[in-house]
Amino acid sequence: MITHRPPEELLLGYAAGSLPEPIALTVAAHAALCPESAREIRRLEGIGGTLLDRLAPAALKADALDRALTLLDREDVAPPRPIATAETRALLPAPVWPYIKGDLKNLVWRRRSADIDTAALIEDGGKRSAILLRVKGGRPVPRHTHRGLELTLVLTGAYCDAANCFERGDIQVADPTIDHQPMAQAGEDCICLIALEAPIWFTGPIGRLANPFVKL
Amino acid sequence: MVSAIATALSLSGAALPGVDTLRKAVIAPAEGASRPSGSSGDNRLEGLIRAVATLRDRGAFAELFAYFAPRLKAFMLKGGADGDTAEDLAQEAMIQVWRRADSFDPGRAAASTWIYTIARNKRIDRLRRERRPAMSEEEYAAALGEPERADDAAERSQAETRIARSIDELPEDQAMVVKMAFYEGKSHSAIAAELHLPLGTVKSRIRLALTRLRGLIQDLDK
Repeated sequence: MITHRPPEELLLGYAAGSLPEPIALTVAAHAALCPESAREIRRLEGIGGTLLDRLAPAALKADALDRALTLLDREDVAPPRPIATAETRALLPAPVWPYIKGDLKNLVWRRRSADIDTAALIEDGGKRSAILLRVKGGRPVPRHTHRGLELTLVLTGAYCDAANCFERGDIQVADPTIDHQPMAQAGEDCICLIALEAPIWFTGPIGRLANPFVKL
Repeated sequence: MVSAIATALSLSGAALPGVDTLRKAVIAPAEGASRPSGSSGDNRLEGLIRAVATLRDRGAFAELFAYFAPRLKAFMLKGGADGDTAEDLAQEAMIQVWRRADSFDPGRAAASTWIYTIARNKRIDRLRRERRPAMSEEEYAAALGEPERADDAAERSQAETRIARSIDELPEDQAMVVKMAFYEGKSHSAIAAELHLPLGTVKSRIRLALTRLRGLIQDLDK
């Protein structure tokens, strides 16, 4: 049961196409698991469609229609969506599949600590990124704050911070005002899709030492 | 008359007598003139997309092109593309309409909504040079679960007509921020910077506008 949904602003940003790629990916992955958000995005896209419909048309070049008609039979060179393996489907929502060519084997997991591994999905010179974070069941993520927007979508297991608990499909939005120490629930590993606008900054004693080495 | 052209086009192949009317509509579009009015107009556009999907009907495509391509070009221009790029992107979006017509489901989206999502994705691919982690129509269907009722398409087109009207009725300050969000693909903070407004003001204007527009849609969902 999904109880933590993204704020309207992010759903609108997705529908209007104004979100950076890592944030858009996380919102799309959430919506693939959450009918309520998918429906809401569709409604917002309906406003987009109505607005498109109402634009004053702009004249095209004289041969525009003929050019389009001659292009119709040209082969589609865009790569088809990858077919995902069964394990991939079980873990990852469809919008993520193209980032790993549909196969979990293409994830490159890197060990960050005894309890934490990460695998990059999008890396953009360290400024914006999307990663998968895997935390051992019952173990904490080092205390940290954020220098930009951080979105966390739970894919397996669950985690809690001081205020709330998050399960598969739930999304948490954290901004620079939040300094938190999430803890994975006992049992299954907790795997999350995380979009970061800036690298997170560990604030605990161990975290501060680790910072030069741990850039998520 | 237009459907006669459509039939002639699809029967005669590529070199097409009678396509002149549609060519003219593309080169010198008259605002609103090429659209059949009311919900029957929406049904007509949806029928054209289905004709493209099932019959590979080039005449139906030409008709869709005459209606949508000039609006798609206007959309790309608003998003900051120069004239040539806007024209290219409008072309690419229309080719995508041809290729993906079979994924269009009028029970789930109005024709203009579906084409809007194609255009939005093209715009991001090109102008931001980013990949677009979009949900495909099939993924929407999977996320939304149970198939919708058969009369949903008709209700949806009524909803669109009502949204269109209610956009006109929004206070100017609310209409402007919603249009900047959709037409220009601007974030709340970019809109605030451009209008020299506090971010909170932009957020509340958008929230008020969406509450009003969404209320209209939700009424029809029930």
